[in-house]
Amino acid sequence: MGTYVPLGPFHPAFKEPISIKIKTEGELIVDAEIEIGYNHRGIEKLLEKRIWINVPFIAEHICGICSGIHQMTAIMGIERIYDLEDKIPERAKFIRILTLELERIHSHLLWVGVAAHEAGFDTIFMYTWRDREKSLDLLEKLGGRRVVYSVGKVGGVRRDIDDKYRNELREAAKFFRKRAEEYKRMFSEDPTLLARFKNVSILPYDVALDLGTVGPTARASGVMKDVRYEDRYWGYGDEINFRIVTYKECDALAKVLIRLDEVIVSADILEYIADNIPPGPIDVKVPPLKPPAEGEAVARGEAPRGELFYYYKSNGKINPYRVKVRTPTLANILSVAYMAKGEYIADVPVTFASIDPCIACMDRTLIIDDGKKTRRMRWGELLHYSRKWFKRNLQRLKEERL
Amino acid sequence: MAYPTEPTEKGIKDLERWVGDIVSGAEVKLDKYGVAWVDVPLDKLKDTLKNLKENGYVHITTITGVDMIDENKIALIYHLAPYGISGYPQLCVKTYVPRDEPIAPSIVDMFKAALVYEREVYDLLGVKFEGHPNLSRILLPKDLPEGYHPLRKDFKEEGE
Repeated sequence: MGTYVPLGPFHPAFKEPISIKIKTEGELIVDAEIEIGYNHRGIEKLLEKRIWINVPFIAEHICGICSGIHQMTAIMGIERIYDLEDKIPERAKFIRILTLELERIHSHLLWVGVAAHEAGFDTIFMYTWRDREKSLDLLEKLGGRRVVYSVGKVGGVRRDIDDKYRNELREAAKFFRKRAEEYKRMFSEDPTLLARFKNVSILPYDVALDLGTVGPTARASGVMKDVRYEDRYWGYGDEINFRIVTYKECDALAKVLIRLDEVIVSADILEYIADNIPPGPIDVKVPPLKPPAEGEAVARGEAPRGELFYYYKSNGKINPYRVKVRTPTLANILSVAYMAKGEYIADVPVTFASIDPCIACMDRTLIIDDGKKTRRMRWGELLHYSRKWFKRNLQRLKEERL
Repeated sequence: MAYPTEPTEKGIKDLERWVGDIVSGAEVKLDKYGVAWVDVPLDKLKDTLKNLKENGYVHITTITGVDMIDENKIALIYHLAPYGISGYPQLCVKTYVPRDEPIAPSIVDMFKAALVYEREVYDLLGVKFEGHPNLSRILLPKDLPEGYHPLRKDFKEEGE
C-alpha cells in the first residue's frame, strides 16, 4: 500500500539538486528515501594532482556558503603535514577565527531566511538577507571577495586588519546581536511561524547521537558536540572563550533558535577579537615547492553546519597522495529520512531545510578582467600570464614590502 | 557534556587497554597534534570498534579508504571521536584489505552513520562491505559498469 511521491532532483522546495522519494499514505509520510550525488565533481581526485600549497584554494570551492572553513580546515591539515602548526603567528590565528565567525553569522542568517521562506514567510527572508549583507561586506573588505574570500594560506593569512576595520567589527557585532534577538522574538511569538515550526521534524536525543548528526542539528537535540570546544584549534575555548548553545526541544523551532543564538555567540567572539587582537606578523614563509615528509594527518573544524573533516596522506611528493573530505551535510542527511517519517507532506520542505543542507558547490570557470575585454583563460595561459605579471611587477612589490 | 579531546595519560592507558583486550599487543600511537592511531587486523576490527563504542567512542566521523597500490592493499581508516568522556583523543583505527578481493565486515549494526560512509568507500574504491543492507553507488551514477572506481590509483581517466 501507499503511493510514492518523488521530490527532486529539481524541485521548487529545494535550493540544490537532491532527490527524496517519499512513500505516503494519504497525507502522511511512512517512508523516505534520499538519493544524493547530483553534484559530484570528483574534487578529491582533482586535489591529488595539485601541489600542497594550492590545495586550500581549490578546497574552498567545495562549498559556496562555507568556503572559509573548508579552506581553513584544509590549511590546518597541511600545516600538520608540513609540521608548521606551532609556528603560526598569534595574529594570523585571530584573523582566521574572525573570518570563520563572520562566515558563521552570514551562513546562519542566510539559513534562517531560507527556513522562513520554506514556511511561506518571505518578509523574514528579505530582512535576514539584508542583515547578512553586513557580514558579506566585512568579508569583502577583508579578503577582497564576497563569497570565496581566500583569507587563509598555508603559513598564516593573506590580509591584515587595521583599526578602522576593528571599529567596524565592534559596530557590526552590536548590530548582529540586536537583529538576532529581534528574530528570536519573531520566531517565538508569531503564530504563523510557530504553527509551521513547533513540534515539527522532531529528532530525539538518542537518535541524533545514534545517527552521528553534527553541528546545530545535533545541538538542537541536546547533543553537546562542538569541534571548536573539543579540538580547541587556534585558541578557541582557551583564549577565545564562548558558550555552547543547546536546546532540549529537538524540533524545527529549536533548530532555528539555536542558530540565532549562535549568531549572538559569534558576535561576542567578533567583539573580543576586535578588542584583543595581538600585534605582530601575519604569516610565516613556506617554500612553495618543498615536498613534505611522509605521513598522515587529520584535521577537524566546526563549519556552520557541523563537523568538517579532512584527511591527508603524503608520500613525500610535491602533491598529496590522498585527500579525503567529509562535509557536515553528509553526516546529517540520514536524520532527514528519520524526521520525515510520520510527518505531513507539507512539512517536507521545513524538515529538509532544518538540517541546513548544503549539497552543491559552485562550478569552476575562470574569468579574467583584462582592460575592457573579458576573456577566458586556460590553466596554462593563466600560469604564463601570472608569471609575466609577476616579473613585470617584481620591483614594485619589493618596494612595497620594504 | 562536551569535553576537550586533549588526551591525558589515563586516557591513553585506557585506550590501550580497550584495544588490547581484543588485539593483544596493539600499540596506540599518539601524533603531535593529539590524534591517536592504532592498527588492527581485519578479523578483529568489529570487536575492537564494539569495545570502543561501549566505552564512549560513539561518534564515527567517517571512513577513509586509501588505495596503496605499491603494497597491493587498500587501507580503511575508521575515524572515531569520543562523546561525553573527558581526556580521550580522537582515534583513527586502521585496517587493511587485499586489493584484489576487497571485502570488509560492515559496521552498520553498531554505527548507523556508516550507512552512507560505507557506500561512499564502495563507490569510489570498490571495497565491498559484507552485511550492509543497501550497498550501491552513492555519489556516481548508478549505471556505471562494475569495476569503475575513480579513486583507485590505476584508474584511467578518459583522454589520458
